[in-house]
Amino acid sequence: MRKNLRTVLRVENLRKYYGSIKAVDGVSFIVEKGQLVSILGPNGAGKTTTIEIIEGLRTPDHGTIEYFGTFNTITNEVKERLGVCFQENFFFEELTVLETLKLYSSLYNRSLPLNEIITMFDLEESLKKRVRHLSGGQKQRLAVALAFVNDPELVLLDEPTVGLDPHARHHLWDVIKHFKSLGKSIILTTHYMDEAHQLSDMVYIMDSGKIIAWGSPQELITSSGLNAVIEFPATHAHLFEETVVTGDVAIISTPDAPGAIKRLLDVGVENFIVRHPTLEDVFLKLTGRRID
Amino acid sequence: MGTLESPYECVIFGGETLKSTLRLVLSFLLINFRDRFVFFMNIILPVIFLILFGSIFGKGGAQKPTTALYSDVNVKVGANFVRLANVPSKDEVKNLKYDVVIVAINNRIDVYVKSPIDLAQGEFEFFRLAYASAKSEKKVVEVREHKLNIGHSISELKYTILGVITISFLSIGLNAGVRIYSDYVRYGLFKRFSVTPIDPLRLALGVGSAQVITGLLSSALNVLLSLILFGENLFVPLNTLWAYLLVVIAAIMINLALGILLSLLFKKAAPSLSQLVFTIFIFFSGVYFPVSILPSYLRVVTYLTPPRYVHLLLQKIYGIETVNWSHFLLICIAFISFGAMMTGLATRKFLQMSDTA
Repeated sequence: MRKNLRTVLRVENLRKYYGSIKAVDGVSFIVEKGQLVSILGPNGAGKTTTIEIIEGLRTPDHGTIEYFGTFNTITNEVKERLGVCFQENFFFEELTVLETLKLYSSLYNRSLPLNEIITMFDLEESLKKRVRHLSGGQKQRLAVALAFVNDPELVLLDEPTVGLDPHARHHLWDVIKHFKSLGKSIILTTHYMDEAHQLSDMVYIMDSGKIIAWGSPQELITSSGLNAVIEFPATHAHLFEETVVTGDVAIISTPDAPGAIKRLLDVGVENFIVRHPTLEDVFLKLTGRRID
Repeated sequence: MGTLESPYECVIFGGETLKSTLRLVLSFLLINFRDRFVFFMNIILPVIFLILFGSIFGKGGAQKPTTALYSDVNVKVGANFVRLANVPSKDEVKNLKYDVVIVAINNRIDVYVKSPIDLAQGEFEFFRLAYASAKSEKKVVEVREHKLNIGHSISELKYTILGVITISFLSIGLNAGVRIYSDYVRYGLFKRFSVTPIDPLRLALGVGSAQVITGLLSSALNVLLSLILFGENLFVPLNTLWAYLLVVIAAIMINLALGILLSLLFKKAAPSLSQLVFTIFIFFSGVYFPVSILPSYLRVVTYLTPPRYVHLLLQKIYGIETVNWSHFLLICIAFISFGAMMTGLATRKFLQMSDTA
């Protein structure tokens, strides 16, 4: 295979089985310099296992990982250039935010100025607070901040916005976009479709340990062949042939939106929504179920 | 410009790595003083024990020496004298566990003083007169005093305070071992370290050093309090400060190893078990309660408790001949080596991949 100097991570045919459970089943993807790659999938899809194999926390049963075009195993040199935010983050509860940042940045040869990190992640007010006294959102911001203390070239963010309020989520998106603009490569796992759509250059949709589709958000939507999407009460699902029902809602994607709307109005259905297709609709089409 | 020959010199003492090792030490030290449970167990509980036991044993007044006696005639003596059946040789005198040994034969009384605690003069005078009377000697019999420089015995108060310090080392090491290698592993704090380029040796050094410093601070507090509250001066002379430091390191490391062992063997149950071990050690090590109150078949347990040895080592520093210096060093080296090995191995193990579903 031809080597691309811009490739910071190459994952090939990764497999991890736990008995009969295929947690990761032949996953391959690449991350290029300055690219934000999202791994999108429901809980249990294998996203975290994939990320933890890349982080060196788990050994794969099969497959190869090449870091920064040079390393085939996770050496200390690789760890120096890698930033990590876990899905579940635990800290030394009795240390303050500042002490925590100083501790982890001291473990690397290279680090970003802490002032920069503190401002960027909006941690000024909680600097002297002990971690045990932080809110969930503040803890999450600290966790993501720790992923950037060593000025990494590749950052692995596993569900970084879970538990954040919408304002904090959008703030974090801005920070991630900023780091991306600095040429950092980022892998983001998420089950938030809007997050993947907003931030990603490339999305890998994962289900049951396999990557079932990939491309840029727009490519995924276009190639799915979806047109306008109409959501209406599931009680009228029988009106259309290719209806997907999730809970109380029936969803169709149709090239003939006016025709579909007319059929609904004819039978007295007025509470429906017409919208553009999203990644969620792509996932729904591919798997027959919603992501969450 | 010279080059570093050992990779460890680079790992531990390189500029940036030294800074990060110090940061690790500071972080673990701060946790020891900020975590309420840890602070209570490491600092407050020993002080409570000190006040409690100090109040009980500190009111005994002047310490009476233990006295052994051999006399070639049967004379009445005070209850403080223990009769010997045979004439002891000079070597036997040295080995007898009494402060004073009196040998009265052929109108001559040899008094071997092995302790700075003064001979109970009244009782001795009573004996001397009784002996002279039994020998039908009107004149005072010949009395020779021999000062034997073989250390001295220890007051109950001093014994107890050293016991308190011993138990504080047990608490610090044991709790740190369990907290760091059981709780922190379970809560994912080691996972966070795993993804950094930290060297296991550096992390182990940070963990160990912070506990040793905590041990030094806790023992200094108890020494200071025993002087203020009970007038017992336990300040370590400068010429034995090295030995004191060695004992603190040895004590912390062996107890840390014990905590790690519990964490490795019992995982989630380790914190509860460590409290059980702590309690058992208080009773069985003999640092607070005399082992003689135990049934003989249980006394063997004492030899399996690290605090017993730490207590002996501490007494040695204060001039009590509990062990000779070569045994002193041997015990210290064994404890430190075992502790360092366990800490290093456990840190390496927990920094490696965790491959469970």
